[in-house]
Amino acid sequence: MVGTFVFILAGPILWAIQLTAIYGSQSALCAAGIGTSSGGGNALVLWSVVIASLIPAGVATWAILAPAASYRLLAGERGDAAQWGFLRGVMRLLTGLSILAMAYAALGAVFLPECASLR
Amino acid sequence: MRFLKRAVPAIVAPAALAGCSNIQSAFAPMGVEAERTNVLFWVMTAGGTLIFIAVLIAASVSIFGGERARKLLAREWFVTAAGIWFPVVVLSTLLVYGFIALGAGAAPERAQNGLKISVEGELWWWRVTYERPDGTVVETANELHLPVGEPVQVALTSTNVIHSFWAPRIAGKLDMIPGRTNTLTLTATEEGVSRGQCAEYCGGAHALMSFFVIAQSPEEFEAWLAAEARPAEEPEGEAETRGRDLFFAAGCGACHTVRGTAAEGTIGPDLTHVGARRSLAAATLPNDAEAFADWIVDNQHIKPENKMPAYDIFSDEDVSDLARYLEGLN
Amino acid sequence: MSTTEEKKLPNSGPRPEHELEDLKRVWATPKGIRLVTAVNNTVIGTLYIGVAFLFFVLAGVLALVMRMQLAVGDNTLVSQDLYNQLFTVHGTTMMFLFAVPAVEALGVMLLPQMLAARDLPFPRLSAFAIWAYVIGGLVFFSTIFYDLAPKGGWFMYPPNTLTEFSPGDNADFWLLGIGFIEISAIAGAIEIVVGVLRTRPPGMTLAKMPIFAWAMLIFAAMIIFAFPAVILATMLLEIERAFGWPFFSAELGGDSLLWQHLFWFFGHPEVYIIFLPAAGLVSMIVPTMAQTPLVGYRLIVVALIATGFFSFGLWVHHMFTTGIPGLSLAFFSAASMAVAIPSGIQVFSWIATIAAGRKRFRITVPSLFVLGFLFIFTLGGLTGVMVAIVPFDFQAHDSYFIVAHFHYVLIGGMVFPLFATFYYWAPMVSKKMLSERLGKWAFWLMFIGFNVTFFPMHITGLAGMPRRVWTYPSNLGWDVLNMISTAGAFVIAAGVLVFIIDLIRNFRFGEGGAENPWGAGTLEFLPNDVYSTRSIPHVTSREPLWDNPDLPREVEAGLHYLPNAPTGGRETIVTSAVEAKPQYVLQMPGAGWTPFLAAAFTAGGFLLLTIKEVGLGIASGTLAILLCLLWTWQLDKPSQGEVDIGGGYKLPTYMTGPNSHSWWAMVVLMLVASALYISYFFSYLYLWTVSPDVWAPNGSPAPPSLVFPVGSAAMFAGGSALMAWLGKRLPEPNVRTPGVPAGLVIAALLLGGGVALEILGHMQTGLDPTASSYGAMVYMAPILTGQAAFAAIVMCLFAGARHLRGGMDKQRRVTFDNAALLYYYTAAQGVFGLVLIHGFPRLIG
Repeated sequence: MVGTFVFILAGPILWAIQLTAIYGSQSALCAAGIGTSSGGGNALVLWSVVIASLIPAGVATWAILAPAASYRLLAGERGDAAQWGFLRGVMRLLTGLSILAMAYAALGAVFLPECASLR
Repeated sequence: MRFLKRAVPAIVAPAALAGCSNIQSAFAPMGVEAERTNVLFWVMTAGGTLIFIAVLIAASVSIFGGERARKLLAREWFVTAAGIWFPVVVLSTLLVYGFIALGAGAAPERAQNGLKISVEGELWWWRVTYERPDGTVVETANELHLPVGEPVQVALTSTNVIHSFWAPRIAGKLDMIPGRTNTLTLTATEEGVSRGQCAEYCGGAHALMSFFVIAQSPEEFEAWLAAEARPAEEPEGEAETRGRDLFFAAGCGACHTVRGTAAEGTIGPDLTHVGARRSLAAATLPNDAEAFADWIVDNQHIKPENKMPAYDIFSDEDVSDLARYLEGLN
Repeated sequence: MSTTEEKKLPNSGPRPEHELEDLKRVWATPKGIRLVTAVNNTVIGTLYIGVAFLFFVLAGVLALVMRMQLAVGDNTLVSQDLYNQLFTVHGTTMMFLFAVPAVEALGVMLLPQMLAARDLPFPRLSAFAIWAYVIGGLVFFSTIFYDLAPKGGWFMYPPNTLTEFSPGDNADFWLLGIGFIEISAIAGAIEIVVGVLRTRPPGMTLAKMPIFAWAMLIFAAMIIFAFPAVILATMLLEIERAFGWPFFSAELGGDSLLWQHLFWFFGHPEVYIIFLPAAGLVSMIVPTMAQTPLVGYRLIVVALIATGFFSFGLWVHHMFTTGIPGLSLAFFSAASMAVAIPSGIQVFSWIATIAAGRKRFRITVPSLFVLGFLFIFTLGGLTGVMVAIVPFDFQAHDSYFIVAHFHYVLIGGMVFPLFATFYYWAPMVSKKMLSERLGKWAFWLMFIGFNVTFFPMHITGLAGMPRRVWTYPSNLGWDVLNMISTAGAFVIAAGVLVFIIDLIRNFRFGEGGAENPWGAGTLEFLPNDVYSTRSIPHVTSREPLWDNPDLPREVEAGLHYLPNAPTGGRETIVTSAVEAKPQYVLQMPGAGWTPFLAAAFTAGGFLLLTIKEVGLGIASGTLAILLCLLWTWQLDKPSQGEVDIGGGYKLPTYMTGPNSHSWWAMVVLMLVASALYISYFFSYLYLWTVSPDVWAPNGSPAPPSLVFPVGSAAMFAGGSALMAWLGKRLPEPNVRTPGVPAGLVIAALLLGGGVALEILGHMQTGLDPTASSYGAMVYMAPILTGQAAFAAIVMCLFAGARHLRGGMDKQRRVTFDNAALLYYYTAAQGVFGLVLIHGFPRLIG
């Protein structure tokens, strides 16, 4: 039962993990001044954003491509076909939106210095 | 873009400004950041208007449209196309535009002229301090002078509650938070006077915590700063002199500074050149003898809860003399 | 349905006549003064929505006063001090006393009927939550009449709300009043989660759930994760105000931004907490008016879930102007973009559904309000995207542009659907329908008035007018715009007034209203009485009433499940969460004085504490706890053996373990507690990053020797082991042994002892909670655990007492299981706290 819900919510959960990881590491590193250059850049932050985005996005992509396998992993045996079609459809779309949200968040690091206040 | 910048304000601005002043309006930018944001605003408004009209048309067709048009809208692919793919394209573009506009506030245009300005949020006024490259410090209040064309860094702080420094015609707002120093880079693009106001609710007289921004040519700015740095001049007239004596006798110097005299209080605004400012009480009153008099006697009605006690101990003549002394500090 | 083949229904008719009488007797609503003891969802749901609407009107009147003050510049109609109270109370009332309670009320009122359940699974908890809200809310609101109202804004930012800048009890009224209403919201949320997941009719799988049930499920889940953040924030602020622990004072290592993080971690989801149920209502009304199933049901489910999640990634967009790094802002700007997509999906799904109808969309009053909602909400959504773009927000933030934006989103997104709901679902609780003619007047006045009021504010804001100003100089170009807004506000008020007239003329509470007047397809339009539906239908599609036109008659004839009251009391069917397979029959409590009295004394306790009547406050609180115990003493009815509900299902009437509804409620409560503790964990680390200089070992006493935390952990672990051991050795029914209560008392002592030892350890190092934010945070950990421990201890003692009275044994063990669950949770949280408090300073040292 819990597994079924985790399966549906896999994408958003991964998105939440990504946001926590990138925002947490960025604000902690910037606040502590670890690795920040004079212009407000910080390679450490950049790398943590890249890594913390690629891993959840990769897992999410796998879930979209292999829904049956991920369901088995999380919830065990599938119920009837109509129910499965609904669960799979919801999971895929949610995960797709979550990957988009992850990409949006990571995009900031492409355009902006990591620690500058930009005012 | 150019066209947008001109045409759309021409339609909306008259309604906005209906025969009035636009001294505090973000629609009339005169600073680098405010101009950039104004363009961003009109681009988004134009795009948003188009999308809104499209939604209204789709909704109208779904209700009143012909059989075939309605069939077209009744498909799941319409929801997917209009509700997912179209927003993804628009939002992605806009997000990148937003990031670029945000990134434009970055370091390159940082101030190089060695001038340090800090503004402190007080209850409920602004303490403005200029530190010149030679280390001299000039304090004034409720008025920010800027040299046109030069990026100036303004350090924003507070030791009481949270305030927010907002001069809409120059740039967007930035908060003043106890324990933190936020730095805002301001670049005025044309000469002129504009107004700003506290944008973070700070209790009591939040509504009456405004200020003026005077953007002037670099030469005028330097001249103004040099004048501001001088100590106060001794009063000349009889009434003014009496006013000065009353000022000291009543203990005004405990809270206010008048440089060059024994008044060295730092609780209230520096009054060294108060007569030369554009307003009293953080842009609440005009700056003339009458306003000074009103303020001294009646300030708790003019600006409730402000930290200066009302001085109703003075006779009318006392008040008038005091006012003339203060007005003469210019 | 086919006429050639005999339909196989769960029960055969005709049913014995006494069944209907039994149901009527068992579910009867108390009369007269005893009405306050009622727990039926339609009765208390109507009270709930009625009081929420009252607060809407009251807060609206405050808005009118503010609009009069702002009509012209330099106005002196209202004083500065009163105005500051007015906007604080307006915002607080609209958000906490109107919007959230109103949607929660709709959940209480509509969900059981939509799910064809007899009632929500914890009727007395609903009653308690509602009465607590009614009493606490009315007292809170009344502070505006005697100059005691808070004036820090509904967001209550410190330092402005610290004692130094806000002396007096005003701010405390906000903190305690709201803290307590939050608790009532959480109680309601637990009810709704368990209700939606476990009391659906047989056959209603997740994929067949009405959209409103989905929306309420997500709504409740969001409350569970969002509200604890603001509860922690209010606790910290009240502790700082009362005892001087510096969580928010910069000079002692606190940070006022901590409040903003916690407040908005709640505050942004809050907006969607309000909007999602309203969107769910729209998704119910649109298909009915179009007489066709929703186009893109699955897309809408996805949109609701995505909104629920993404809304937790937006909180920093209220902090764009605080000067934190640009990239931090970018992360949240990105999430704000992402959350726009689900709203787009829903808007176009509704348009597609309207287009899909075989006949044209029926323009009724509910449809008008829905269309008005579409118009206004779309505009609000577009300005929402604008303010999500960081540089634009630098200008728009805290200006009237924002006032315009969020009124578009909230009034458009919630109030208009709510009015649609009033008209659409009135027949469920009223003998008469509301008037279509008056309704149309109300709609047009409100729609036009709304746009006249709020559209100009976009311009006012960018013309430079900040929010929360009680007056403005009249030479700044804002006068005309403000005058227009004021005029519009009175037009809205006229619309609401027309609605009230309609209510007075036509609303008559009671059963027997028109049956399915709109031709809807969902279960709440089945024939209804005090017992909800006569029998609980077997569901095979999303619009059962459309797919089986005979269903209302079948249900009324008692041919579906549970057409009677086999245990002689109130009961409903509990089904599995995903597939909705019948699992057991839940015996529910009926009317009683305890929920009402417990709520009254809880409210009394909070309010007495607010006015610093500590002794009386504690007395009132203790009385409330005793009443709660009295109330729970009557619960957990023994098994009545198996009952036949029809369709070949013979179901047990008592359930323990992970299938039990109370086990679920306990788990949800643990989620609430852990969300609270995670907020605390975040706060601890956050203040460290802000002020590493006061953290041990840099400026504060080093943590105590490891003997203390190891001792505490041993007590927590030992107590848990004892509980587990007891759980395996509960005696058979009718065997009473003093060993059980003795064991429970020892376990309780161990739990309390563990918490006490931790506090003692820090006290002997000389750590002072008022000296630094580090000290304050360190003591906060055992306080939070102590809170949970207190509840666990009470439950242990309760279970022990029940055993002595023969109410708890190997079979009838729900009270023990619940106590044990909370015990394990508390112990785990305690150990986590020990690791953090004793480990972290050593790690960074």
